[in-house]
Amino acid sequence: MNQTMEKKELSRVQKYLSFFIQDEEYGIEILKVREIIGVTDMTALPKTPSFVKGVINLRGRIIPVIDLKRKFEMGETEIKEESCIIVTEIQVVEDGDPIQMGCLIDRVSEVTNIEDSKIEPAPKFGGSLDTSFILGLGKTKDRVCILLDIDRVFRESELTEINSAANCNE
Amino acid sequence: MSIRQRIENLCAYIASPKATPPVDLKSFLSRIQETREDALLDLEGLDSILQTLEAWMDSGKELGEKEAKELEAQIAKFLPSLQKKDAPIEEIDAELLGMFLSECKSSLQDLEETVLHLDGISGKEDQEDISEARRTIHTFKGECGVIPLPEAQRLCHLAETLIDRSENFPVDPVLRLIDWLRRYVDLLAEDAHAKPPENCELIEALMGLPQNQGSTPKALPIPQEEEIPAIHTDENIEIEVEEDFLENVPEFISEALGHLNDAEAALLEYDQGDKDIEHINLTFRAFHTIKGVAGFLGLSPIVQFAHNTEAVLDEIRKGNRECTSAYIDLFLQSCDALKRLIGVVEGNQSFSHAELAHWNEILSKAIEGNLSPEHPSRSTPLPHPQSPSNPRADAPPQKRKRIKIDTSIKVSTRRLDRLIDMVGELVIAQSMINQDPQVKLIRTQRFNRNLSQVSKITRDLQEAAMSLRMVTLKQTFQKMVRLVRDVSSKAGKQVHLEIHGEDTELDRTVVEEIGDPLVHMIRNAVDHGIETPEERVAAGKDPTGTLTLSAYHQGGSIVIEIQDDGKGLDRDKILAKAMERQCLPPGTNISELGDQQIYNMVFLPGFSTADKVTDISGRGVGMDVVRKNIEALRGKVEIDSEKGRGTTFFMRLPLTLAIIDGMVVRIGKERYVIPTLAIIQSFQAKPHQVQTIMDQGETVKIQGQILPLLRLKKIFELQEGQEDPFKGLLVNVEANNKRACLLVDEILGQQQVVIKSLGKGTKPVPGVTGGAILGDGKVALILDISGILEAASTNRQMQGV
Repeated sequence: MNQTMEKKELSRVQKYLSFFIQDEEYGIEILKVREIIGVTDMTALPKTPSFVKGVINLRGRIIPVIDLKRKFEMGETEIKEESCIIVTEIQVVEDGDPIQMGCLIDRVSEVTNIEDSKIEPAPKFGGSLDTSFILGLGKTKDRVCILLDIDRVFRESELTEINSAANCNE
Repeated sequence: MSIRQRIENLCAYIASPKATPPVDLKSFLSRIQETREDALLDLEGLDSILQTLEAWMDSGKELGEKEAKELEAQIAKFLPSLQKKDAPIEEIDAELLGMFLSECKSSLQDLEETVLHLDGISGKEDQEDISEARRTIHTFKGECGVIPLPEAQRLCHLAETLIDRSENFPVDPVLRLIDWLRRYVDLLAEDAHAKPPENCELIEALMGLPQNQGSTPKALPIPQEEEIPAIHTDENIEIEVEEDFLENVPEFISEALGHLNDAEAALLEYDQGDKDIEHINLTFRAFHTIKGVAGFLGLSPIVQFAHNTEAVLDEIRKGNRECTSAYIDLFLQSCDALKRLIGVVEGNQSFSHAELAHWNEILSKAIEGNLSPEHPSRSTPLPHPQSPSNPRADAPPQKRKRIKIDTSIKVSTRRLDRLIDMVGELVIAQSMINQDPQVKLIRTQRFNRNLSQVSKITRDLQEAAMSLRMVTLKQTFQKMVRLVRDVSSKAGKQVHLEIHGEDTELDRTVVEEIGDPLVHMIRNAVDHGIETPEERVAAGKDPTGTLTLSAYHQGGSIVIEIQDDGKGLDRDKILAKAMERQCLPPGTNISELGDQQIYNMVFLPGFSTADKVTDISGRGVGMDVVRKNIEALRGKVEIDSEKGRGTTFFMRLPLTLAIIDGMVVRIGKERYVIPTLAIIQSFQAKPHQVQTIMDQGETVKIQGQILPLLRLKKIFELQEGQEDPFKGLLVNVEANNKRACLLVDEILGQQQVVIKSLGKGTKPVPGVTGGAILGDGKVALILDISGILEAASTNRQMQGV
């Protein structure tokens, strides 16, 4: 799962699920995607950061959904016909249950193959723009896809217990 | 004179009217007569018994009390060796045994309950219970005879005789019999041909011989070893056992020795020409099991040793090495060495570091196939097949048969949760179909019938799925009855245990986890909480202390309460100890500390106010463990204590999967579930009831009480929701002896909901215990009433300061 960046030299081809937030194209490693579901009713979680849209019932399991657009400070996602939730799965501890989280996005695009050699590191913009959860920029034929380090997105969303545990240790 | 003749003489003498046999000689002698002479193993033992008897016969006088007892003890010691030898090894019907074993556990449980109930009742007051216990043992005896399990049958018979003979019900011996049977049953479940565990002491007890009352049967030698270091030379290995595992050690030792005996038998069989690889496998498994259990108990030298031997065995098992008799020798000696190592744990053997290192070297060479012809030259000779210390060595080792107990299987909780989730979804999907307007248009009778059939099945399925994880606390509490009995007699206290709410159902995982903390807390309560009878009388209390163990639901969690009427926690002593150990954060103003804060110090690691460490408690480990375990279950421990009046421990446990009755309320667009248990009433407020205090806190006056008015909208920082307390509804809630009124928009109804965690993906939200999936598939948050009230009251205090 975590071999994307480390084994860059081998120039392996990875599959990414690409999707849109406004007109920007993003990608998540396909192995971390569990499923894509339509937007269902969400229950707001009180006292959580504003990008946490709430929780949903995914076949009997309650999982949180975060609004990526809000997270990236691009405004709030307006729920339309094409909006959907990408359910991602991250393995926090080995052998443990993976944590599932939903990402609310505007539109799913496709699954693309991107060679590792075609991925460029995220440019530094300086200033306030935080690029730490960008794995890199993947170049395909005609466009550029912003590849997300989804684990990091979650970790920095101050949502998970892992994070709070880490804070305690400091 | 041959033994047979001597016995016949004795029999003749007993039959004559003038003889007054000191013990039940008749059955003993006839048993020996039934036995083939060549099968009599312990000839020396028999000889000494016969000599005593002959002396008695010759004198023609009655035997003195002391001598009679000695004789009886001798017989008791002799009998097991007889049994093992002459009992023919009959083929055991695996299916029959499986059924028997699965029934056994519950019937033993019942028996123990009955017996404990009888404890303390003198005379034959409670005939009903006595005859029930007797019946159970009798049935047991019969069943053991059918299987056949001669050893168990015999012991049950002895117990029966003892019950008939005794004036009071023989609680102790019967309890020991139960323990023994449990161990045996466990062994049998592993291997149909398992040997019965060691039972000499038990037989003595069952024959009515005096015992050291008050000391628990398998007296734990380890604590003594810790306190008074055994006389070891410096280089000897000392194996320390953690306090938590002390109880498991005797079992481990007897099991491990059993395994090693089996392994030895198998090895000898192999050596004598039966080159079945199964023998090696059996030996391998024996070492492997010992390694595993020892690892669990933290006995590292044993783990290391077993592991090394296992590695060599594995080479052979895989066929990498040929199993020559040199290897067999090595393994047999390993068995001996390991037995001695295990003896070190017991405290009656020694084993030097150098020797262990030497063994490790030999074994690791053996893995390479480099078998040195010289084994560690030690005093222990190679066990001879006919060696009397190992009576079954020459018995043909049976192939191990695993008995499958079909009434229960182990399923991973993850799968179970998945199943329960899916069933929950099925219910929702099914109700959605039922309510679909299109479906409602179909009005054929057959369709309706089928549809309602589906609903019914779904409901049943849901119920069945829900019940899968729930178990009652009955078994756990029952164990405590036993514990209180043992600990109190050991500590010289009189304690009466009351149990309430043992039928409270809890998630299985929770029930499994609370056993340990309960043991610690009860031990503490008996050892430190309750005073000795003399102290109690001096304090004007009943000499018998009362310990109450109760379980109940409260505000969506389960509370297990341990209450004693002992001396209570000593605030000043705790404080003094805390200062001495510098547990207090610097700059703490002692006078500001509340009772709760002080009491909570007993949970600090290593904290103990006990003046002396006993083998029951006092090391200060227990309460730390309790808190850790309970917190791991996301529960809480609280203490309430009054000096001189007693202490109460509350364990508040969440119901990870329990179903609760909930009131679904609406605030704005969101729905929330309030556990019904926390609700006292709901009402529409009238203007005269609501009052603002200093323009900040709002209060509601109801039934003569003035309660704070809490707006969930404000607490949860919601956008929508009713502001006007007279337009919405007020729900009067209670938790932790705190009350308040919550303002909600409306009450939607009451329903049972399954508490689900919001998952590891979210940080715990203050005021929310979890989520529930409502009938339409949407999630509603379940309110943590005690959390909300707590937060509200501390805020208020802070504002006040």
